[in-house]
Amino acid sequence: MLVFRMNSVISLRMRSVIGAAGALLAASLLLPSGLPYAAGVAHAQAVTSQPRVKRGTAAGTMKPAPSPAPSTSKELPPRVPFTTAEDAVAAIPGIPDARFWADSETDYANALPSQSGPWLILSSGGADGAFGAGLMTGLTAAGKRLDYQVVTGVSTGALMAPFIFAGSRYDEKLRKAYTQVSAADVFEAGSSTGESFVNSWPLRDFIAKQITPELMADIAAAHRAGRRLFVVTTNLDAERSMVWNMGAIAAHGGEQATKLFCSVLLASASVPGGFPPAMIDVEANGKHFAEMHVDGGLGGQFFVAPAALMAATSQYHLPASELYVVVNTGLQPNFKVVDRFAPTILTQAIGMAVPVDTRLMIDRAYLAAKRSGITFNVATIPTSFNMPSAGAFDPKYMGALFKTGLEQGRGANPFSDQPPPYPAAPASQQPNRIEKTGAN
Amino acid sequence: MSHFLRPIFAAAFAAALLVAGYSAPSDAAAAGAYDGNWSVVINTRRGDCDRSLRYSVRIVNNQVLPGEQSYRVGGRVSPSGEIRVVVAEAGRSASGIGRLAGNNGRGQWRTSTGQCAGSWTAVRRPNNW
Repeated sequence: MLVFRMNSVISLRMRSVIGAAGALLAASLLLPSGLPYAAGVAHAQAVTSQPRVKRGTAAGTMKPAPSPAPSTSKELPPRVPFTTAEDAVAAIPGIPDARFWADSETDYANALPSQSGPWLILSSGGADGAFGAGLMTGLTAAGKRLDYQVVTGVSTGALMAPFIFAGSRYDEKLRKAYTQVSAADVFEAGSSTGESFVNSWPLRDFIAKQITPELMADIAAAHRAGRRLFVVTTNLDAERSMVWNMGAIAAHGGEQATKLFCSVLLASASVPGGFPPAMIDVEANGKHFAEMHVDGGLGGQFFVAPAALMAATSQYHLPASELYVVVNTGLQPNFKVVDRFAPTILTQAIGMAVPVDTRLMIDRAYLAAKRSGITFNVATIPTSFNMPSAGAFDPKYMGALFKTGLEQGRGANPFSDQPPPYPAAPASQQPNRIEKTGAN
Repeated sequence: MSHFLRPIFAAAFAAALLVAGYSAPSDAAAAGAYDGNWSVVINTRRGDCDRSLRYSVRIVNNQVLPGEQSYRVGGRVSPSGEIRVVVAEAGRSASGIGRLAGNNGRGQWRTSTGQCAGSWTAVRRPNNW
């Protein structure tokens, strides 16, 4: 009994820490690097400061903390064990063409459209997806919007990809999705299930409302016409990326397909640890089990082709006529005196890693396009955009970034034909550098 | 918003359903009218605070508890659903008032200094989701 009680205390203590870190991580991982992850910080600080809350302060009306009550967290069911061999051949029951491993060159080739055409690649970036949403809307306004033969999306790129793939008549829904949401529409703190810091039921519900029968029908029609919509998740069990053929799923139709479609979108944008993973039911040789899928960004911030085909040593030619890459994350480092607090440290670390990975991948895509003899086009957030975000998913910040993307899309040069320059030293360091040079 | 106030309003989401100054109701049946899981959204209308945050809280026998014991706050809901909230930390405080009715609730909140202010809404959630 004593052991049990001790465990309970420890559990509550741990949950408190997890709760603190959760909102912070969720916010940070969904946000572009360097933004003030206020929601998470606020929650984290609130929790960590709880011992300092004084009873009787504030006009002496504060009630003491209540005695613990049964937690709302439900027990997660044990997982059905499976082997790597079983997972290798696992498929979605009834929708065999729903997906393929991102490292399978054969499956990738089979899934591609038979006709060449322009490809649109949508990167991760959290709330900064507002840039891509604005850019695409601006392209429509300028009459430059193409019917992309292939659209791929990772994380926030996955969330916007269905609307973009289905055509410009969904621009208004896209605009609303990226300018009228707030943190409250994405996650809830205090109700995690133990597999993540926060609960993402608000985002799950939001996705379910966005994926209408009309949208599914339009995506299915485009798929039957030969176009392809790919979304990437990470199969965390296998530590491998998986590409979902969203058009094939939509074309299958029915409630199961819609549910899977939504689960894939949620998984692709669910940073592990921050948000709960999506458990996706599969079947292998008659055995049923569930795979754990998380944010597609773990395997790369955007997807063009299997990594081996994108390698510098590869001779593979992309079967596209043009390559368009929309980078939904700022590439500049963001200075911050980091608190000596694990979530804050992780936040800053991830905030650095994502842009670095993105920038390197842009180079790789550029080389692949050049090798393939096709035009390379990349749109990035202007370095002049430096509006601060008031917490996670600040509608004002996202609205301003949407407008920036919109204006860029409408402009004469929405895309660059070369990768952007690597970030230079901050301007504040320039005088020092000059002084040193002079001294030498 | 100054950082010292952020914790207060982060906690305010949980505090939004905390009642200060109400005595414990003696009617056990009435005490449970608002029992269950609630999702509270804190919106900032004025000041440099987070634009919106969503938190989970529970009400058990009219006692308001944090969603997962992460927030050391307490209080009670009056039988009529009235709410008065006070959150304090290191001499600073924020307060909120409002009302629960049926499966919904709403109210206002502000810092004691008036630096930030806004509204909150609440909706009852299923026990498992």
